[in-house]
Order: sequence, then structure tokens, then C-alpha cells
Amino acid sequence: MSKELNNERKSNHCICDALLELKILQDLLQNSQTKFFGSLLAKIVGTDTIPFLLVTQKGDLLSLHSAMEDIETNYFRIESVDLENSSATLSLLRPLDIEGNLTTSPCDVVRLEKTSICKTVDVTCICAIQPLDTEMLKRKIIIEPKW
Amino acid sequence: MKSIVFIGAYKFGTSKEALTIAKGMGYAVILFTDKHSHLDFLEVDQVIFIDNLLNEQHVMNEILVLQKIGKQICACVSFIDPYVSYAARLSTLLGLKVVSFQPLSLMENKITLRETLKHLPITPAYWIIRPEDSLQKLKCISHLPLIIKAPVSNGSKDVLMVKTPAKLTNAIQYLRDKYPNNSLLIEEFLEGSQYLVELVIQNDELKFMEVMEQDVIYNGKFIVGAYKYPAILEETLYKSLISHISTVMGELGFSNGSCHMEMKLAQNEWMLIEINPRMSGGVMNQIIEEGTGINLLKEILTIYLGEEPEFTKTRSKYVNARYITIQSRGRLLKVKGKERALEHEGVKYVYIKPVVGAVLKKPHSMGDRYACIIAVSESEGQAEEIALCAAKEIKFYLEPF
Repeated sequence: MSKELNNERKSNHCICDALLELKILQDLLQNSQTKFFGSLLAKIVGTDTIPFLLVTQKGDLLSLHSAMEDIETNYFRIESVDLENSSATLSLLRPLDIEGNLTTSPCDVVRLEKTSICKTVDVTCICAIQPLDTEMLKRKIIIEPKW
Repeated sequence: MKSIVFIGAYKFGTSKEALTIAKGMGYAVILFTDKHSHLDFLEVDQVIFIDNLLNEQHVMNEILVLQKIGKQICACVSFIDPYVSYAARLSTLLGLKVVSFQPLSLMENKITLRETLKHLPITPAYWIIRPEDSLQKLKCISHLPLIIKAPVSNGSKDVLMVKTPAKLTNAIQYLRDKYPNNSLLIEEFLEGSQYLVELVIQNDELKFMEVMEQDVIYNGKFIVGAYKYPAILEETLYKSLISHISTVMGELGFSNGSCHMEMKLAQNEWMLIEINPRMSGGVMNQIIEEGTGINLLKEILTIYLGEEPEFTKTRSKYVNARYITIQSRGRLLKVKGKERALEHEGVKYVYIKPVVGAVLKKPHSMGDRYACIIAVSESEGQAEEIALCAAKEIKFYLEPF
């Protein structure tokens, strides 16, 4: 695995390479079976997703929309990377506020939820990746008092 | 400049409000504190930080320095334990018009208070366990359930109820570990409604007395969940309460000052739970002011200043003060609902105690009450209902911790 991570650039676009690296790391979370501790790493991290934001060449956060589920989000999970075509398939992460409602305000996002909605993105229009805390996928919120 | 010296204060409640009121009365406010976080109290003109506030010589030296630079010390007071009688003693040393110092000191220790009042019918059965006493053959064991108290604790932190002999031994051992040099007080547990009585006495005369009922929640610790003002009492009970209070104050020699008593009405008889030598903490001043129009704290300060207090009621309303506790442990992410709670007609005050990032938990002491709502109405039931509806608007969002 480390060999895979340390490989030299494979594509003509470094964002593509970086997304591939993120994909390899993310797969590591799920697929790392070791001799003595088995899937301990997956248990420690507690999620199979490294959430991230993408910044476009214009300097905005990339926002994708799914009309079917009525989700607009800046939060993604990497699903696959096409190095030849400099494109990547992302699944949309549902941004939720403290009460579990969908939100578009970055300040209110406290939790992310996986969806099966995937979109393919032209990576050449992306200039930066901001990985986020994996805690956002597994955060539990308690609401008190319970009347 | 005319000044009032305060010994210690909390960040919230009666002791903090006293600083604001003193400032409003036109006095320079000087706070002696052992907490660095008090250095930014806006209502305080001068903060004097002292590691050990009970170091009398150190405090007196600082007060003398204040006097030398022109501060006219008009009163020296405290609204927090264990500094109430200490502040009264400092007042005596400064030659100020003072409240009764010895009775305050008596009240500060639950054991000496019980011993002083042991012959009165309002004193429940009690036993004193000295540090050297064996835990074998405890006389009180046949009176279970029992209440065990450390003699100088407050805020219900070290008040335990036990129902079995094994738990009695464990509880005594727990408090002995915590207070190895102190005797412990064991009392019979009394079933009944609990009441709080705020008192002001001046020249042996009962100048102010208001009674409120407490909703006490027990979940291993006794926590006051709500205050209902005024307490609805039959006239005979009210009269007997006044009579008991006069007797107690006479026995204690308490002729000047303020205190509060916690009483239980067990089988229609008044029983004394405890007396504290100061006005109650928390939101007590707001409860009384909303109910009567009297700013009790201001009048108490007036007495400390040697002036004549004014206890004329300008209104007569029912007040319900409801506290909010939680049942989960977690780090606070957000609190919602304060504005919505305030929108309820009759809600006068909503206080949210913890700040984002604080760790909240189940209540183990009065300090673990995280919000308070005060509602006012024309009837007791209505005030209670308004406070409850408003309380339901408050939501604490926590993350497990």
C-alpha cells in the first residue's frame, strides 16, 4: 500500500493525483486486514469516508446538486479517479445541521451523511482539495433535556 | 469615596447581583477574591486578589491600605459560604454597623446549629459521628432511611440519603475520606413538602419574611428543581412557622441580619432542615422582586450600611422559577430556544448557564442546573404552566464526552 502511495505522479494533473491518493487512503481505512489486529484500523477510524471540499479555478467551493433527492452540497466522498480523462466520480455527502436538518450554511454543518448519489467531475476545473475531519461522518448529537 | 467591600463572589446569582446593586446604590465596589476569573467583573471598581481569603491579617491589611488612600469603607459583606460570618467579624474589627456575628457563625456549621436548637420541637432526630467513632453498633441504624451531611458543605454536594445499613456505612466512609477531621451529621429522613423561608431581622424584629415551596428532585442527590412563590399555606401553619422562627432566632441570638431557612412540613408539623446565614443564592432576588416588588438584596445591603430598609410590597404575583437539568453527559455544542422561551407571556427571565464547550452531566449538585426560567402570573398553577412550557423550548445539543 505504501508503495502505491509513494508512486510518482501518474497523470498530467496534480489534483487528479491528489484525489487518487485520497482514494487510496480511504480504501486503506476499510480494507486493511493485518496479521495480528485484523481490521483494527477501520475500527479506530470508525468510518469508510474521508470527506472533503473542492475549490474551483474561480476560487469558489464546488457545489453539486441532485434534483432527485433535492440535495445541494459542497461535501464529497471520492469513489473513483479516471487519470486518463482527468475526471473523478464523487458521491455527495448530505450536510446536516445540529438538529439533523439539511443545511447549506457551512457554519451550521456539524454532521455529514453518505448518499448513493454520484457525480462525475472534470478535475481540470479544480485547483484545491480540503480534506475534512472524519468525525463529521460519525458524530452523534444528544438533545437534552428529554421531557 | 464611600465603598462596600465584598468577600468572594460567584459569577452568577445573588453574590454577583449584590455587586451590581451596590454599584447602583452609588458605592465603589471592592471585591476581595481568590479567583482570577473575577478580575474582569464590570461592576467592580477594584478587585483585590488574595490566595486565601480567610487570611484575616492579609485582608485587614489590604482594607487598611484602602482606607489610607481615601476609601471610606461603609460595609464589609459576603453572600457566599464560608465567608458570611467572617465578613461580619471583619466588619466588627473595622468598627462598622454590623449584623449578628456569633449567630451567623453558628449557622455556618450544621452540627453546632443542631446542638444549639436540639431542645426545640422543629429539630429532627439526629446523631453526630465523630472521626474516631466506630461504625459498629450505630444507634441511628434503626431509624433508616437517614440523611448524612458534612457539617460545612453547601449546595447539596455532600448530603446523602441512605436506606440500608450497608449504604449507611459506605456513605459515612465516603464523607470521612473527604472530610477526615470533621464529625458528620446524621438525621432522620422526613417525608413532606419542603419550603424555603427568606428572612431579614433588624433589632430583634422580623422585618421581612417570605416563604416559597421547593420542588425537590432526588436522584441520589437532592436538587431543587423549582421554586413556587408564594407558598400556599393555611393560616395556622403560617402562624406556627412565624412562631418557630421567632423562637429559633431568639435561641440563636440573631437580632440583625438576613438568613434563609429550609423547612419541611412533615405530618403537618414544621421541621427545620437547615439555616444558612445569608440570602439564598441563584435567582432568589429575581423571584422575590417579581413577586413583591421588593429588591431584597438592596434592602439587605441597606441594613449592612446601618440604614433603614424599606419592605413595602408594591405588587403581589405568583412566581415560578424552574431549573433545567439533563440526564446525559456530553460536551455542549449549542443551546437553542432562549428567545422562544422569552416570548411566552409571563416569562420574565431566562438564564442559560453553560457556554459552548462545557461538559454537562447529570445533576450531582445545585451547580449542575443548567438553565432557569422565571414566570409570573396571577395564579400559582398558571405561573407553573408558563414556566414549564417555556422550559420545553430550551434545548441543549451535546456531543458524547
